[in-house]
Amino acid sequence: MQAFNVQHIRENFPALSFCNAKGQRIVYLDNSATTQKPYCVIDALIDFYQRMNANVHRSFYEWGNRATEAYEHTRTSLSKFIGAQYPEEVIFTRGATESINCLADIVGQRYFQQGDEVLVSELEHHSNLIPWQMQQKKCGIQVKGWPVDAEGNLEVSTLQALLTPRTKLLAVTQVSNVLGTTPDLKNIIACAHANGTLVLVDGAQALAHLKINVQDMDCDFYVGSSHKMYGPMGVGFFYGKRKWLETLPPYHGGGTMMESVFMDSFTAAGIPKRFEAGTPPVADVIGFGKAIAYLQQFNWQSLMQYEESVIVYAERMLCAIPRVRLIGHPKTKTAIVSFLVDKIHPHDVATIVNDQNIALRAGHHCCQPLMHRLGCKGGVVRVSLGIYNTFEDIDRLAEAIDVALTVFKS
Amino acid sequence: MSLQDIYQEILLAHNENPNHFEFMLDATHQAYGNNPLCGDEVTVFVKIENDVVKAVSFMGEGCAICKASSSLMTSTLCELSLPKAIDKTQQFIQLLSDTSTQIPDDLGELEALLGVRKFPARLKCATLAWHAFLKAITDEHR
Ligand SMILES: Cc1ncc(COP(=O)(O)O)c(C=O)c1O
Repeated sequence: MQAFNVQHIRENFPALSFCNAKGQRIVYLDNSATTQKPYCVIDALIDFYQRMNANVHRSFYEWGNRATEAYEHTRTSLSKFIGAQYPEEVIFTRGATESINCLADIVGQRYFQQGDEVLVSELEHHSNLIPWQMQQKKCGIQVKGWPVDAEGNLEVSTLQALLTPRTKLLAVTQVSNVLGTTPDLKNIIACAHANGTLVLVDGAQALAHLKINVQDMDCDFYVGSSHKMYGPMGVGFFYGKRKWLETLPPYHGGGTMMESVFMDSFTAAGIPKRFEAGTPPVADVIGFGKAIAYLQQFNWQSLMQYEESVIVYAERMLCAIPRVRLIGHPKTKTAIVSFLVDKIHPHDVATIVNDQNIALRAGHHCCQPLMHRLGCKGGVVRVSLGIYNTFEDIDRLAEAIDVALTVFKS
Repeated sequence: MSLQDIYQEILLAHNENPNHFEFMLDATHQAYGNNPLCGDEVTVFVKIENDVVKAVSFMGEGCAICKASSSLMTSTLCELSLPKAIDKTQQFIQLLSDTSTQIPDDLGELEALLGVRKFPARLKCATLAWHAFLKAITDEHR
């Protein structure tokens, strides 16, 4: 285990030394959108194309074997990283969005009937809402919202009242990408299970910040994206309990996902291949494996404590700026804070801080229903941390917001 | 590219006190425009009499660039003949979207919006109301 030394960590990420024309170093505070990549991940991509570029699962030569081995190695590491019981419970996809679309489709086909309900929390990213809405037409189900309270919390007590005998599935995030809220998933899942409701957890924003254990949490399905945990874009995964995955039909048809094929029919392969039709992004999956190895070298307790100290500092600094108001006040949260500056639209804040080479995001963050609930129709400004952000980054942000206040003096 | 290019005094003044920022009871045409990626939204109201734009107003929520551009639009288009107003709108959208477009010398206050050409991410904010105007006069709302 490596001790937590942020300056050391920063040296692993070449992009962080980028300076603008004025010589200002980049302050990257948009980690919820995507994280920067360490050398070990970038090198793995180059290495794959230089030394072992071959397709997986179907080549009989050395490179093919190496590619397959490295690809499957990521599956094993990832299954350990999230605490799954078996590697086959982990399926590679293009990302969290594709994972949820796939699961909505195949779980829908297998388990949803006309009149059933899917409960979706109001914290959800559009990618954990729209795929369920799309099932309304396909399966005749109804999507119901689970409201957040004014501070951005999801309460088990309000959940209980919403569960009915027809609630087949609950879709809920582990970390809100706007407020950083970390709902009490263990209790939430137990409550849903007591009602016979399956639970899909969106881990997109959690994987880089929290220690995950899907067995302990007892979720039925779990999804994530590599690019939000220091890995390459274009690859992600879903986890499903083996007992469910084995009952589900394939999603895409094509190579790899079949056992025998005739002119008029096919038989599907077992898991995980059943859900991985066609050539996967092999280099990116291998790079994803390197990102996991990168994260695993840290002591999670120290990593989490460090990120917590920076987010607490950010909240304190932001609160101290006149006209700045933090949005929401979740009971438990991680790595993310959103705010508004009185009389300065979020876009204008983002444009002005960008002039100081500070990258952050303004808008509704793919969470329109949440924005409506919080009364922030024009969106919010969001700061989202990565492992490499420093107290100095936050000071730079605070200075840049001061600039915004002088541009918009009123 | 500097902040002064985009946040000119005149735009900040229009943002603070926009012209014709009101509902129009006797509008002959109106349209809603929004930018789903960022949340800007405006409704543009137009009153046309005998093929002349007699009044333009707008309502909605948006960033400083969006609001100032909407405000400038309401004054620019007023009292123009309908074909002239359409022309002016299309030319202005073209001017901001395509940096190779020659800058005309009769821009007046609209010149303050030229800075947006250096901030492609803000183009949609600056042209939202103008697109809504075109939509208003082509849709036959009453
Ligand atoms: C909570 C949450 N879920 C899902 C996604 C979608 O991830 P991707 O775009 O990588 O598929 C995001 C991305 O912002 C997210 O924040």
